[in-house]
Amino acid sequence: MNSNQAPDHTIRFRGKIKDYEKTLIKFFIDIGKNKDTPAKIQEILGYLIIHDKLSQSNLKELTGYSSGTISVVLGNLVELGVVQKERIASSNLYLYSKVGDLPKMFETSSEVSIEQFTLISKFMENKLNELEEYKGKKGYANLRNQINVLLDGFKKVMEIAPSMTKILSEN
Amino acid sequence: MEEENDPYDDKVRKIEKEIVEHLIKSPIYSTRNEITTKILLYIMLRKEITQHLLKHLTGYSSGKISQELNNLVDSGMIIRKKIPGIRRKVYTFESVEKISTARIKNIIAAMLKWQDHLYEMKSEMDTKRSKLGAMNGYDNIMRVIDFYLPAIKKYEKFSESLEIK
Repeated sequence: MNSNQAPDHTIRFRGKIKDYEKTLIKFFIDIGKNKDTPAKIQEILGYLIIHDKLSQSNLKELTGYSSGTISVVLGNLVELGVVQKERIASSNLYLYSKVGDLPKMFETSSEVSIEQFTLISKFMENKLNELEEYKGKKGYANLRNQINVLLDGFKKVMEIAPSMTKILSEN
Repeated sequence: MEEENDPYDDKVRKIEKEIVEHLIKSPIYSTRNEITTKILLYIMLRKEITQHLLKHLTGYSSGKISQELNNLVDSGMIIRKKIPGIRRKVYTFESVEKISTARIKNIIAAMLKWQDHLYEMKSEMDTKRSKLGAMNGYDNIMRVIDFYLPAIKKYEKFSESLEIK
């Protein structure tokens, strides 16, 4: 094992502490159910929140998921901006950690969401232009109208995200 | 039951499908349940849609779609409407903001359900600090609880502000 990688004994909690850890993971999974986030994503994110830094093999040991599943989930979480990865010196392996402390993680997630909603909006505006080629075809008017409804809605949703972050950062 | 055909032109439907597929792969939606997201996106892009048409567009089974639609109705994100004169129901939504706020409120409600349990855990850990405090992971667990307990209170306040709006 590389010296930068979390040794197995430090990731394995014992006794009552292990029970508390299991309870927190249940908490994360339950929250996930209410935001349509699959249990495996919440479980992996939960372990990263609890342990700070973990390698893919640490996560495999903690969750029991396959390397492929863990790799895909970590890729999605990195892309979402809530998890970052750093290369373990002199190896091809990475350590994964949440971005900053917990309030910072929520803030980053919110900022990334705004960025992503902006990208999605641009994509949809392009599709709106593409749709013009089929003016008069069945479904054209409804799809055009609904794309505009979504674009308008995304703008309003982007206004909610910073106010949530602000409330979390208030004392 | 009579088969329902999609009234959309093929080329218009293709653009609609490209939007759905693009959004599902975007980082915002890629961490969400793909089936739920796909159904929700088609409801938003059609404004009103039947279960039959959803089956045709998504390829999912009637049972799966029915289960997902029930969950979305129960969570307050979409509305089920009866069409007078025929037996079919349509699924629609109020607004994108309503879907978003319903989702946030559901997350906060789930957090609130856990609040007492987390307080009990914290209290037990505080009481047994002399015995457990030196154990590996004690500080990690305490740090997470110490973040979430005040955060839940703040989210509750935020949820109330959404109610007022």
